[in-house]
Amino acid sequence: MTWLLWRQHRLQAAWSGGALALLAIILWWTGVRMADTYRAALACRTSSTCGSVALFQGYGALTTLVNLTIAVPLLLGVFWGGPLIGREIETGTHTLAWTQSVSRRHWLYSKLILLVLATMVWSTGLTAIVTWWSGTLNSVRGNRFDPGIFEVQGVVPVAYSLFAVALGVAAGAVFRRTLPALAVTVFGYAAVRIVVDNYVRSHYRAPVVSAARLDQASPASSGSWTISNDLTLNGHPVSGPLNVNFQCGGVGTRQAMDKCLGDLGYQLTTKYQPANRYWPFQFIESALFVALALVLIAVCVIAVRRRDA
Amino acid sequence: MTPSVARLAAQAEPVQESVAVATSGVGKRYGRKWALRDCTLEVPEGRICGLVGANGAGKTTLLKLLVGLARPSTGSVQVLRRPPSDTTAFLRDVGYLAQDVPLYRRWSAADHLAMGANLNPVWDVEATRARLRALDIPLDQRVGTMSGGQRAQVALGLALGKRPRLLLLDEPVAALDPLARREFLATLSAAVADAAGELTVILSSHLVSDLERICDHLIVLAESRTVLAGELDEIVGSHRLLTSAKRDTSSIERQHTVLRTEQTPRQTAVWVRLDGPLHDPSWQNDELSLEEIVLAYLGQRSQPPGVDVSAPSGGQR
Repeated sequence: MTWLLWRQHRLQAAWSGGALALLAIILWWTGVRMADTYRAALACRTSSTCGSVALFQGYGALTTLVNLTIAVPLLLGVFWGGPLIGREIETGTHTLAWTQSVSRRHWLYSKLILLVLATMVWSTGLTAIVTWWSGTLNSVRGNRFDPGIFEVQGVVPVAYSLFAVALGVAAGAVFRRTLPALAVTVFGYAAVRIVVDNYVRSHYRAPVVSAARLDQASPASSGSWTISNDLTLNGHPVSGPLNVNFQCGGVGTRQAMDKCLGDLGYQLTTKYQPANRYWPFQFIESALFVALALVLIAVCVIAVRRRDA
Repeated sequence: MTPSVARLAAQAEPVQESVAVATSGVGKRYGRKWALRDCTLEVPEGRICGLVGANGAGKTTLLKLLVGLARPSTGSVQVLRRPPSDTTAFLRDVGYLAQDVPLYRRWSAADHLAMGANLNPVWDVEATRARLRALDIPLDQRVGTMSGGQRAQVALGLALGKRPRLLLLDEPVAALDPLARREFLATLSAAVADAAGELTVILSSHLVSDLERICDHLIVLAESRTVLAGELDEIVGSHRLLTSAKRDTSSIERQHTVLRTEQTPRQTAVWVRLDGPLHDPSWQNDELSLEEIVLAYLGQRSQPPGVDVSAPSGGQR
């Protein structure tokens, strides 16, 4: 089976390996320079020897590139997962493979193991580089919990990729054709991610709720994930437009106005996930997607083994 | 029966020709539709057996059941004295060539042979290569760019390379031109001759002329039932077209199996299987070609009732 797998997928392996290597070189080269600039800037700030330092130059396009890696799991699902079994059944070559002396079970498990291993290796490689590259920006911006950034760093991208390829391979085995498998992969993956991103993730742990005067700093420190900020009066949310001028009009500066409002009992109530929950959230979300992937792989196994050729 | 008695009984049985394939009441249903129903047949070992039937008679389904690509809904299948299974022990003995000759289109013939060598415990490297070389098939050309005949030869080479004891071919020549068809069948005959009785072939087709050239055994399926099975010579020898001036056919019907009767105002024609010597010399007695015989059996189903359609299966041996 090893020979068959290599012969069937060596071209894919070469392309994917090449793409990953290219990305790694670009990100490593720029990442090192970015980190150096950042360190120099920190050093000159403490010794106050610098005039104005331009922190980073020319990383805009790269940031876009890194943000785009959010689509990588989908690409793996479409190009690796969907055709793996779907195309074999579509072109009839599965009957060729299944009537050599290797059992269908052996064939199926070999393919699935290859798919899972390749996905883990490739996705882990990419995510490691992206996470490392983003380290500098993370320390500057402190926003790695943000949507669009949480999803491309840490461990969740690997879990997303496993889910996407499992969805692709299961759809291919169930629908027995490539095109429907691709459609199911794209729409299924997008649907699950949209639901999890928007309605599930914020509930992994109960958010911390804290109220602070408007003229005090928010307790949600840098790096935490603010879920909502509400203006409250004596603990009740304030709705409708606030007639600031009526109550605190003419006090002058913004600070003075905040103090005036604070004295009247207005508070800012913040719901947030603190920064130290970043890794627990990464692992909870990863576990969720790996579990979904396992269910889909079970579906694929049943579809291939129970159904007739 | 106690075990020792059973053993005695088994020993006492006369040595029988061994059977490569035996099915009993096999049916296969896809959803609500039966693709094959109540199919009972036997193929003795070492034969090249033609499987004829109209399109939709269940030939493809039957072959898939024999190689284990599909599982029967009812009945039992025995292939080389065991039920088909998804194991190396079974698969190594059975070669299969599916209807549309699936191959990896971007692979060369050599790649396919390498696959065969890697996925089978027994692989006939030299014979397989020699066979393709003798046909001038370029081993390193992509099969997607080959002619249909060349592709069929590559697929046949792949199926033969593992030295199967049973080879199942599903309409392999249906899409080929006459020359490629002849070459394919010649390759097949040569392989069977080389195997010296160790290889049984079941070859499905809806063209009797192809089968006549190569087969020594024939099974006719009509609406998935076996309506005729036996050695080719015996089949041809025992079927006759009897004609005479218009007359009553009941005396023939009593002694022989009438497949089809045609009455015109002046003439009576009877397609008949002789179940004994024909005593009445007043019938003009003509041989039937195999094609005519098969057509008579396939046509039976649409005949009005009264015609005997329950021709015994395997009754010719």
